[in-house]
Amino acid sequence: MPSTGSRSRTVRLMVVPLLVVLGMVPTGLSGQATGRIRGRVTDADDRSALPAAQVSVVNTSIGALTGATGQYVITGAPAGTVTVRVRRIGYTSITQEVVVPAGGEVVADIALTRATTQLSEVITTATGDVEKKSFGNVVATINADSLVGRAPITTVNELLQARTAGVQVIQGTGQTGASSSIRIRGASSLSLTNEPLIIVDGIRFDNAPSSSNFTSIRVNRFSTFNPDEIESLDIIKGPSAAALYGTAAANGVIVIRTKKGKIGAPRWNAFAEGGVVSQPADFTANYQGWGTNLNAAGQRVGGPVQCKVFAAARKACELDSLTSYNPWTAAETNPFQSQPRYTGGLQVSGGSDQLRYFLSGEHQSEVGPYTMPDFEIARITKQRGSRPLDREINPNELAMNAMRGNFSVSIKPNLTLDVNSGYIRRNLYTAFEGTFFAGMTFQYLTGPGFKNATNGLQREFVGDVFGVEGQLRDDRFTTSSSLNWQPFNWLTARAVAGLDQNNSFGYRQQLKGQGPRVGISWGPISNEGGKDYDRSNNTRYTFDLGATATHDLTSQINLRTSVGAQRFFDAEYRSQGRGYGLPPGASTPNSARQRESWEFTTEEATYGAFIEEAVAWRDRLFVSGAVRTDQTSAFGRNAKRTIYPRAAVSYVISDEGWFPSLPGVDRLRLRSAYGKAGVQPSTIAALQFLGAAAFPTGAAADEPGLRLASIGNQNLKPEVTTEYEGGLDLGLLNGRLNIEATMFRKLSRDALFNRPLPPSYGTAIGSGSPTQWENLAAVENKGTELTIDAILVRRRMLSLSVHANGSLLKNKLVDAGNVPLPTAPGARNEVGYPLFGLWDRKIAGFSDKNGDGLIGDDEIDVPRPLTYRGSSLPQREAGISATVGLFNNALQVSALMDYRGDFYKRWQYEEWRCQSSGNCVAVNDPNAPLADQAAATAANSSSKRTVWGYYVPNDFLKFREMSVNYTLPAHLTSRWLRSRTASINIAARNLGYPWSKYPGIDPESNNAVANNGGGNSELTAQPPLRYIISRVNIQF
Amino acid sequence: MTHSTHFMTYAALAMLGLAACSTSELLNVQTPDQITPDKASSAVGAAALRASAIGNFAAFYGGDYGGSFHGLSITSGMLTDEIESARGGTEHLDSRAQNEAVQPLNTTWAFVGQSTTQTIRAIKALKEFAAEGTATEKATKATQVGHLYALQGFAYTLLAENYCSGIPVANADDLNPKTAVLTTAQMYGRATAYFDTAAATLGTTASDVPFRSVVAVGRARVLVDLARYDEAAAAVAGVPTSFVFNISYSTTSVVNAIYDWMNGTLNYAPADKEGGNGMDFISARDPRVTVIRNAAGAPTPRAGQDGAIHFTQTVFPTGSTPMALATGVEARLIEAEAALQKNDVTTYLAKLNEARTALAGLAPLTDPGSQTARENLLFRERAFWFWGTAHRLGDLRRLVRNYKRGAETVYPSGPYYKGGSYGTDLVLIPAQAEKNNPDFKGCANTAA
Repeated sequence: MPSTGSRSRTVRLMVVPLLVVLGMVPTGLSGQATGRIRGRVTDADDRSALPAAQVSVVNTSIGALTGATGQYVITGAPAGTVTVRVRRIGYTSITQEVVVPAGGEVVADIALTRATTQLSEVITTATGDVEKKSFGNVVATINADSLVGRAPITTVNELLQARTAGVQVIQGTGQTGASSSIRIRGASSLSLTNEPLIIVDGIRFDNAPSSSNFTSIRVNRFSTFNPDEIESLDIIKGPSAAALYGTAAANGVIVIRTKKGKIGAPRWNAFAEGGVVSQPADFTANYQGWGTNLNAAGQRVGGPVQCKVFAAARKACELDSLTSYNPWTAAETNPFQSQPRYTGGLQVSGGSDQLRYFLSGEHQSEVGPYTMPDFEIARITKQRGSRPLDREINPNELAMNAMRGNFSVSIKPNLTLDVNSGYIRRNLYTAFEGTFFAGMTFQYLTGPGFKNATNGLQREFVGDVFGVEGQLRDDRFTTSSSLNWQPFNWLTARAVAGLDQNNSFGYRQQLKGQGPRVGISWGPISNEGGKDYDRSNNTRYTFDLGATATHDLTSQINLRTSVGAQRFFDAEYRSQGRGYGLPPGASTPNSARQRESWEFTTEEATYGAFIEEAVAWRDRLFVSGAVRTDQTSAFGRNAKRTIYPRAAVSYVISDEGWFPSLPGVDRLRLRSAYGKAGVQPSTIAALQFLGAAAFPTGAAADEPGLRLASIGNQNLKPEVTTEYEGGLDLGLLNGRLNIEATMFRKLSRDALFNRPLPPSYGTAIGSGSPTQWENLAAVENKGTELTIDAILVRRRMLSLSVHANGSLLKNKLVDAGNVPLPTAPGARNEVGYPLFGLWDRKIAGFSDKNGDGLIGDDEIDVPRPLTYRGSSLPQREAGISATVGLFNNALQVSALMDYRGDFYKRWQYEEWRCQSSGNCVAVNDPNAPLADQAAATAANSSSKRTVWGYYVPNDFLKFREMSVNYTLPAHLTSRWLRSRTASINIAARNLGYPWSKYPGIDPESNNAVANNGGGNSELTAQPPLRYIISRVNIQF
Repeated sequence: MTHSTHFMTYAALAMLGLAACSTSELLNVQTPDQITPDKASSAVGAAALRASAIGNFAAFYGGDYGGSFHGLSITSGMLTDEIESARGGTEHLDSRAQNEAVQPLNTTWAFVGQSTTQTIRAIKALKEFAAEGTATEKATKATQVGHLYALQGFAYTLLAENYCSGIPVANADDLNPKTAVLTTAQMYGRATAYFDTAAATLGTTASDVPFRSVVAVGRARVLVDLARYDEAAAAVAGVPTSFVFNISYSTTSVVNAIYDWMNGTLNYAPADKEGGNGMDFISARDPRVTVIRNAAGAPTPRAGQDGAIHFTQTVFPTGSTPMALATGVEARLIEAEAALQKNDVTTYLAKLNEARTALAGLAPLTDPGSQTARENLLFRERAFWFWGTAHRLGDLRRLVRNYKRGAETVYPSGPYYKGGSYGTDLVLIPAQAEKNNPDFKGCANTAA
């Protein structure tokens, strides 16, 4: 058996080829007297052992990882005084001098404190864990572990909202279970996803919209993640930081670490939450103007008729009265009712040297604030002879069960296997909504302005609308196995394999005799009964191999070399069917009058590799360079490997001796980074394929035919975003004030655009011009970000801390490859303007020329050219949170305000009512403000038609969160509850708008929320829900 | 070496191997939903491509998918005196002032590209994959390929007759699509070449006989357009008067567009003496152009030229009524025209009347007495025989080009019945989307 020394030499010979480009041959210590350092690393707060902390001897390549009990042993340390450095995620790194006796041993027990100053935090990157100060980018970290128990967090996206500069969370519709969208540093793609890449415990986590979704609302798969299971999130904002994540990371990366076990006796954490969810919005009434028709001589003719302001303005009728009716609030039709929300969970963590564990289970249930009015229950009961089903009475409901088991097994002192697994079952029901005319919001907003046969709704009873059931059930299993090996002090390696699998079943159905009665509302005719369903299996596989070697080139220069290779395989298999005309009692399409089915398969494969070299000089200047290459199945056959380089510099300049001693300044870091990352096209965008259809050929029946459906693009490659980032981190006043300021510019080249081809190419089906996905466009985002953390008061009985973040963002389409862009009004793309900006003919002016108090078609000035109104995405955003601690922080009060500004929304709710359904106040009330009349008249004009008047400023300041948390005195909890700690929390979410420019119901109602595309419009979207939640946390 | 060192070695090798692996293995994915061209590389694939080529030609000639698209029979007829725009939105074409950005020009032009390229793809596939193991299979293959060549000949003939000079036609190379911009003369040249190839490809079985007549009529049609009347007459001499070659339609796929747009949705109507010069397609009560007046009801009928509810046609009484592409009647009318060119009035009349025997109820014609009147009679006969089959625009152009008539004496002219006046367009033009073609800068010549 070879000795340790000879084995080390042998392995070095093996590894050298791998690291040869960097001259990574470790420094030997032969001939020098050595000793041993051993000790234990613990948490300074609770003295719990900290496994996996990196302990190293500065200026040497020797070190060790702490074991499960926090113990470490470093052999071969040079005798004499040496400096030991200890680093671990979430803790401030620390150095400590020890004297190593030659041939002897020194004990160095070290306690780490949780990171308070941001530079000393450790973050997770593609190459592993690194100190934030060595990383040339700004990386935001959210400590979910401490936040979720205190703040009103119901989804993982809410963890991100208003807490990080440059990160925008765009609200989904206000139904329980709806998803929001995430944009980091703006939108870069015209056609592909603008959502960030999600990494959970080292593997990719799917955040695509649920493909089996028939719930009428948008549901992203990220929303299945249980925030109670998260320890922390790192937000890697742009390509300059995310380059090594490659083709998928152009929109940034969110790296999630779930909670892990710690050595020691089992530590239990039980929590229970109860609350109320409500729809806080005040919906406006519908209106109807009444009058008499006028003949050409201006004389009244006939009886009472409905008369609009613009018709009265052109003397077609004379208004004499106005009716209004609000079905949203009328007893017979009010669909809202505050509903309950419950969560209960139990977590336990602990373990031994050999095995650490974290186990959790949680149940969550929430009933959306929609319910069938009693009047409707009685009406349907009478009509059917039986009470409506519970699902009809409460159509919006979410139930979620989550389990997680994270295990860490020490196979050898230098070999650890981490297995992290989570399972979630989500069952979501929603009210019939979306763009269906028979859907809830449409029926209310298009009501006639008086109480008609359907009690003020357009044509359906709300009880019948609730007869359409939408369900989405997800079973999601996510698991990763990570083998971490440290064969030598200077070398660590990992092998990660994992999968993220989601099985979904979704359907929309109405049983025979239920549902809307008029025409074809979504599929079945009238209330004949019908069902659409979709079963899908989505799996994402991750395979990741990596190694990192460290080497002290000199006493002042340290090298860190990382290599890695990954393969990702994404697959989706779906079967879909529908059946209309159900017999009584049937709830499947099996016996339907009309049945159809489909099958879909989507697979994507990606592989890539990277290498990074990082150089540290005197632990204050860090320079790194890296390159990644990727290839995916979605690229065209002729596309070459894509190369993603990265370079970064981080300089803690305040550590220099020559740095002037400035009053109040503790620390100053300058940083700058450059990098590229990509987004890959859709699976079939590059593919040439045929379409099938039947054709008459003269035979007795149509014959099956094949014709070219898509020409594909053999040269298709990913969109590649290049980013430059620079900034500084400033620590002031003994760590009480920390400032991060960052400027960035990112340019997405080769942005995919569905270029219209000439029809003569014959590469399309039907009337449309053929198109071809090409890498044509360029999109620029540039901005400034600022984050301030301040501890304003730090006393035992009173503390006050403030976290503020904000950003300015400018987005524009730089180039469209000389391709004619669509020129229709609405949200569209124009070179020189923001993506998905709002355009239409401008209302240049209006005046009541004839003094009749009405604005007619001839009294508005609408020049013909389309004019840019504004960005549909916020160009300014900020969040500010403040926490007051009383009585040694036993009582904490926190508030979070959220600001978005410099953007516009298409106020489509009002536009529809003023233009299509004619029941808004501006087209019915002659006393409506002239500006409102002008907007409505222009929207209804045949020659001057424009919805310019409904492009409205969307700026707002929102009272996003408020919480009060009380930690019970230890003597009480130990005596009464026999627990270590216990806290009671009361929190509220979406409390209101202290200020807003938006004239509509809610500035955050947005039906244009999507992973790709864009726009900002409100039509069938409900405003975000309000939550008031109380929670009890008990630790045993 | 220990297990650990083995592991590290393998890991390093694995990483290097991954980076160097062949993409075909690491990037192998299944796409069963997409029928890639290689999956159609078989005899059954070729048959499916052939069905699509025939169907696409049907769409181009006179078809519609689901009430939204227009074949040439509608678009061409609208520019002439055959068809009127009943519903708003297509008056630009009806009044000879085309808007290239909107219906129906854009859909018809889309069908042009789809038909001409799909036929090439189908011919290529049939040649490569159609079975020819037996004599019967060989004969069938020859018939099918010859059929498609004949259709392609007609496609170019129709393009030459209806569109301006200088239009782009694609090469159907789907990896590197390109277009050639062809003059009218070049389009006639290509049409002739395709007819020649068809004739050379077709066999001698009974199945080939009708296609040989199709080729004969097609060749003659080109020759007439080129004012080579004697050659044209000679070409169709063997085509029996009763011969009819139909393009098929279906109520469930490619629908007869005349029926769909006139009877199904009441958007268009047969015209009567449109723009003064137009034929009396309605008032003549000719059995070849049968019409009825629409009844009130759904869909809502529109007011016609006379202010009352529009007429509609019954020539194509259902969505699956076929549309004749080549007929023995056309052969006789070509012979009549050739005779007229030689002042052989007897043959001229005989041929016209021989054609009229093809439909019961048509009385024999008599000599109108003058050359101009004879020409008018000939073109009137053609107008009624070929109503709704994309012949009329070619005939109007021939009247201008070959018979030296003034355009304003044969095209609808003067006040437009919905307001304004007729424009001056004489030919169809490609859709605006064709401007995405770097090879196409617009029509080279829009004269008749």
